[in-house]
Amino acid sequence: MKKKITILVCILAIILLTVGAAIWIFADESAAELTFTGAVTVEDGVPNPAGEIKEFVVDESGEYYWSYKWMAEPGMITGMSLKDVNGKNVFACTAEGCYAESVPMELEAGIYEVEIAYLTNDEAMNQFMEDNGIERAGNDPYDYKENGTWETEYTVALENTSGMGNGYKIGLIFGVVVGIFVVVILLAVSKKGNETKCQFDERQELVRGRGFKYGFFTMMIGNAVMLFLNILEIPLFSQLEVAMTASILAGVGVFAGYCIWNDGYFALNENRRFLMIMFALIGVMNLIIGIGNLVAGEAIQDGVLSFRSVNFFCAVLFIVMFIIFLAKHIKDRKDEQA
Amino acid sequence: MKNLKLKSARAALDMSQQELADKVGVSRQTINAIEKGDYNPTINLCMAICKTLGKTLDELFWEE
Repeated sequence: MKKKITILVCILAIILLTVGAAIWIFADESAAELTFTGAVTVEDGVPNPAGEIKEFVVDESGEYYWSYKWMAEPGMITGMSLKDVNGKNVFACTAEGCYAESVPMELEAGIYEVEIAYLTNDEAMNQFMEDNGIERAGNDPYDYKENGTWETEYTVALENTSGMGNGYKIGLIFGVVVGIFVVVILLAVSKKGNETKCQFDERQELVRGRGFKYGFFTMMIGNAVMLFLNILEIPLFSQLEVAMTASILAGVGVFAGYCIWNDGYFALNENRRFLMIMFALIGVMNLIIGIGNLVAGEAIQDGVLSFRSVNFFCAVLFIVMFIIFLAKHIKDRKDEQA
Repeated sequence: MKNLKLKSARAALDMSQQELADKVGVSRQTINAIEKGDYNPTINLCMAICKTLGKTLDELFWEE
């Protein structure tokens, strides 16, 4: 297919996807949402005010889940709890920055109380956790804010369990659109000439065939090991979906590594330097996201790797591909000089 | 086994591996692999190389 046609088709697909997404997102809104700004002044570790209480009205009884969202200054830790019409604690969490969702629950219609507590020392933190029945993650000491004035926007939303949250939907759509956009740009920019289809010569096809074989067997062995561990009920180092993804990435890595080393990865009409720079950038981006997830405590949950750790695996894949490319490039240079 | 006949025929025309590769529609690494004896090309590619270099199959690919 010619470049221009490919780009036009993809732009059309992105427009259709965006329109569809807009309908999808706005068709099923949150049941209710409360957004407010919390302002606090801390002097010598004493917050003023110590907290705030807001009312949240649930119009109809039914099954819902709650979501909290805020992002405060580092060290400015907030505890947020929600009490139902009977004063019973429904959902609580504490963090500097938070995007948390509760489990689905049956709620009665009525006025709920959202309680904010500004936590500036371990005593207040422990008291909040004890009052709300939540446990502290990790044993590292918190670096609380001692002095200053901060304002933070807090959002509490009541979501219908029939659909995904709007934040999740927007994130999903954004990811898909950006993904398509990046692929289109790569297709258009990485190819020499007017063709978007990859052109390989006969030796490259042979190399790719072998690469596919090795990659496939790597993936199969990885899956077989996981199946074996699962049958023997030996705990995995990660959640099952992470292990499966790691297995797929290992297969891709073997294929790509073998093909790059044997000059079968890049097509005749591809700009290999541009692609490798892109791969290095993707690797670094994934590494940064992975470190962010690790620092936020999302990469490891319940002592095993969660799906958030997949960015690390992706980073390793792309960086290893880049290193193999560099090593191959140096080897080719030496061969040419010899 | 190295294909020195191909290498010398190419050099006689003052042609680089990349130039020959571009003319026959393969990668430079494929030409390099044929010259080093790491890859045995198909008859189609052999003929394309022969036509480009103005040689016969015997002259470039027949082992004596």
